[in-house]
Amino acid sequence: MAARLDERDAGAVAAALTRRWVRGYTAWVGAEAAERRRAEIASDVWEQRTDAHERRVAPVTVALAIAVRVVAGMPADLTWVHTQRLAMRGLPADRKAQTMNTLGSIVARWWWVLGATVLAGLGASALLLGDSDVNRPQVAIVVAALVAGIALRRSRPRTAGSLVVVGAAVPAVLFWAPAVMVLGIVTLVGAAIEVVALTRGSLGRALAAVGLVALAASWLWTGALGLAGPSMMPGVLAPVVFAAGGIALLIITGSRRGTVATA
Amino acid sequence: MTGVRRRPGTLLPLEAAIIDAALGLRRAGDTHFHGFGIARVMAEGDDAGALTSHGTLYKALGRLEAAGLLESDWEDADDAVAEGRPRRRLYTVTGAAQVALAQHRQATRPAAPLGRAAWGTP
Repeated sequence: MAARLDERDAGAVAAALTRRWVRGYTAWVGAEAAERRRAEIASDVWEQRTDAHERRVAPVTVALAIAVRVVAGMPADLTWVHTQRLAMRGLPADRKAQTMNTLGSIVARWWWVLGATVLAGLGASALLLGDSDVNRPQVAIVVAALVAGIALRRSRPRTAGSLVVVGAAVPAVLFWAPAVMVLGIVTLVGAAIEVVALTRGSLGRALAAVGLVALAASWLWTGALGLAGPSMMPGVLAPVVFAAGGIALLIITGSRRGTVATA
Repeated sequence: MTGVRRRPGTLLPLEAAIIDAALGLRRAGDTHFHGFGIARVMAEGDDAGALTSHGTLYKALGRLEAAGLLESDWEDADDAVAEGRPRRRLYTVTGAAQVALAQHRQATRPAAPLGRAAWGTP
């Protein structure tokens, strides 16, 4: 009996996993296309399970067949998402925000802010609970940059993105803590993309990217030298020049586009 | 749009198979078909017998519809409720699909053998 229940469950599990996959990738496309795709796949899976039941095919075999169809179709699913998103590119931001379904819109616009929030939380924990090895001034600056970036996300998105790039730069090089490093890299890249996307013109975007690299490099350089003590003095000029140059580039290329559309 | 562009009016093998299967269903009296239905018909006519993956199938159906070779609409919700199943998206082949399939077959027909091959000599 238990084996039979397990077998029946296999089909349900495959259907549930399919549903999750479809919900996942359709979160990135327009609501209408997403709803249609979800409904069509739901119908397809139901028909396949029913057809298999009528043919007396074992539920485990059906579950495997459904899984194979899902996995084999993943590349096509992803290119479909890409095509759908390209088709949406010409739409105004407000219209696009309306068209995108809620989950996709929130994730697309806020995922790097979530990363910054987690990093700030980790930094704050290190400040409060960390031992004497923690470089508290540096961690405090990282947390301050991240928190300021999160706070300014709505009103000054370019400034917010730049601050998060600075804040995420140090976590992004913590190779001895791989999870934090990956989160740092992802957050840094997301924030950098936001800053570049909010900058006008190809040249402006390229210069803004250079500015961000300079800013992050100066901060990392400073961090490597140490914020305090005599060892910082010999090389202090270069990071300052990098930081000033980066900030100048970001200000020069500053966009007039104020806030981004909210989710 | 990125990717490899193809000549307007040409069909990919999967698209030709979908139209072929749909026309077969229509000859058998089924003017409408749904995604899984056409996948099953194609699988039955295929030596491998495997169902086309979801992503590939629905992307191809979407392309065919965008090209005017298929038309689709949701079935009446009451019909689905009455049968206790999710609503089906029902497709029909258009006249343009028949023309496109004929052109595809013409274009992909193997060239007539020439020379010795035509006489079946080695």
